Amino acid sequence: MTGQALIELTGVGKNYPLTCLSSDRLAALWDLLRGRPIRRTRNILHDIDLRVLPGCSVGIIGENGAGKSTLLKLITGVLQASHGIVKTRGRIGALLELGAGFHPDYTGRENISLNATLVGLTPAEILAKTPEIIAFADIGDYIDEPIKHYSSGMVVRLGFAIIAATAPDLLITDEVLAVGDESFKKKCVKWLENYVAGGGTLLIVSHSMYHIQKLCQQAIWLKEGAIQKSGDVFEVTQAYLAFHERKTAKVTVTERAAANGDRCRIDSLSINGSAAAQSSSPMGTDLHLQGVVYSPDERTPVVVIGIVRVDGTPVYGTSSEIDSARLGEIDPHHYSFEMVLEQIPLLPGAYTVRSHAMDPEGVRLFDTLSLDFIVSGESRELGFCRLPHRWVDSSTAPADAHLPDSTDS
Amino acid sequence: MNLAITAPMRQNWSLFIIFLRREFIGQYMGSITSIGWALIAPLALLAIYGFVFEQIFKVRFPEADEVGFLAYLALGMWPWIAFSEAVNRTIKAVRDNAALVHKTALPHEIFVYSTVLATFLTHLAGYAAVLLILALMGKPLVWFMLPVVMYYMLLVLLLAVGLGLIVAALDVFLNDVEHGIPLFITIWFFATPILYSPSLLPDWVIPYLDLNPMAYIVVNIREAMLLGQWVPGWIDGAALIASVILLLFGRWFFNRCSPRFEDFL
Repeated sequence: MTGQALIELTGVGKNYPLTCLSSDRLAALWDLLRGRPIRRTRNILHDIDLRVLPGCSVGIIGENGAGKSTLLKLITGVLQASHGIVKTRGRIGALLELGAGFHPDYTGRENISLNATLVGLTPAEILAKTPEIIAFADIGDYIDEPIKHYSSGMVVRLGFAIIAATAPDLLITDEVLAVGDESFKKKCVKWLENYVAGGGTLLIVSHSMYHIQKLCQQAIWLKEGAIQKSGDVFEVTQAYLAFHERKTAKVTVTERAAANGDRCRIDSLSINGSAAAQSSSPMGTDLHLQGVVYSPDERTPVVVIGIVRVDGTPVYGTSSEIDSARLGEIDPHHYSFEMVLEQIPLLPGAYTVRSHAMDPEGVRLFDTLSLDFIVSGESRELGFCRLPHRWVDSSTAPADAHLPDSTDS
Repeated sequence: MNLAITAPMRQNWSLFIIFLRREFIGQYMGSITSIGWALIAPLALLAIYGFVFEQIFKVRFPEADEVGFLAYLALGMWPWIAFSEAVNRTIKAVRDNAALVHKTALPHEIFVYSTVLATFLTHLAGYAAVLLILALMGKPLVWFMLPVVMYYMLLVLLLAVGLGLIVAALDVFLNDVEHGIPLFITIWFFATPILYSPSLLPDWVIPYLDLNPMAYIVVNIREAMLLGQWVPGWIDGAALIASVILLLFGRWFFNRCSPRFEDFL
């Protein structure tokens, strides 16, 4: 059993036909009946290769409209791929969006039968499991009402209860858990953790990197219908977050470039001896920043160094004036500076070093030179900076293991 | 492996049962008499037609003299209602289940089969009830011909499933089907000798009448039940083969389209 992939996609693509004009619909019908591909289509997914092994959960991330839901539909068999081969093994359960797999006119009880049958349970098994499902869903008399009268939370409760009772080999899900109330969410997260710990496999679409990192070992990043990056969950999620931060930065941060021409300016900047952008340093190592600043009037300028996240959020900044640091004179117009950030406590992700040149009085800011870099590493901590901390042993009192474990104690 | 073949079949059968049950409940849910409407509506229709044609138009034709116009009408009316209602209801069979088509992988044919069969069985029960009423009234019908009636009702079912598969698939692509088919069915009703006897038709039409499968079925049911006549000929073989071909064509047509239903709904 182990070793054989639960899901195997090879070169999978999906085209959606254009369906607005009746002429397009008629033409598509004619193509279908002749067994030919539909002529007028829009490509949604292309060249997707994916292997999901038992026990190896995979997260799918990407922007809205990147094709994540379409990919899930291809895997669950709701859609047929236009190209490539989709192979699946084992019992697959899906918990997608609101009311997934539920018929709005059917009662909760009828939908239980329907869904359990779709997962592959026999009528006898369904009969035996129904009380358990109803108890887990805990929606009272609503079980005999049509689903369309349910609140969104009740729908998710029922959906999750069915999945929990049928225990599929592979569970495909998206951000459904966001809908339930706190106590139910807790119940679900606990179930999911047990499911994954017990060898269950998850294919999850989420915009929460925290959940993805917590539940998955692998991740794929979909961008405009293709895999932008896939592999280790931390690498992929970091690259994705960096992409987003950079995207926001383009909109919000305006580069404060020097207004005047022949004034103080930063001539060069390097990180750990490299002037190339996107150099990577492991978290907790020293970061060497070196550079040369130009002075038009033979006086020593002030250098400001700041670390910001790629979206422009400041992390830390200081200057040669604040720290009373002395620059090295190369010639009367050029001064070198060097600064070591010791054991950088930045959490893995993309950052930018900004260096600014100021006049010797430290009043006017003239120039900015930025350099992007990446802090690498694996961590599920939140935020962007690790604060020194320790956990006090509270094992005498029963602790609620709700928060993520810290890797640092 | 044997298990691999039977498991999906058993699963589809379970699904079919769920949908069929649901169709029965869904048809008359929220009404007081529930299933009673299946009988009341056609009986009312029969009474109206009976009143209009017998009392107002004073329609008379020799075939109906012995049993009376109402019994004559009823014999042809129920097969037609079973057929036309089944087809009309099936037009939206896929569309009504759009929520499931979008989210689950299940054979879409089941929607058609369950809708057709639920409607058909409801009216078959109505037919049985009406025949029982006629028997109690002492109408001189040839009762030992009932198996022949059952055979023709089976043909009706085959026709309804075959046509239902085609219209349900078409409706996903073209909304016009929803409006066009019921109109077409109404025209078909008047083109079929249900309210009238074939003897009232112009002579030149008679040889072509059997091209209308429903005319063929209604005429044969009446001949069997009224006159006790049923001599199978080549045309009966042809009709059976044509019905099966229609069913197979309908399945082919439907299954060609069904992988793309999700795209067009």
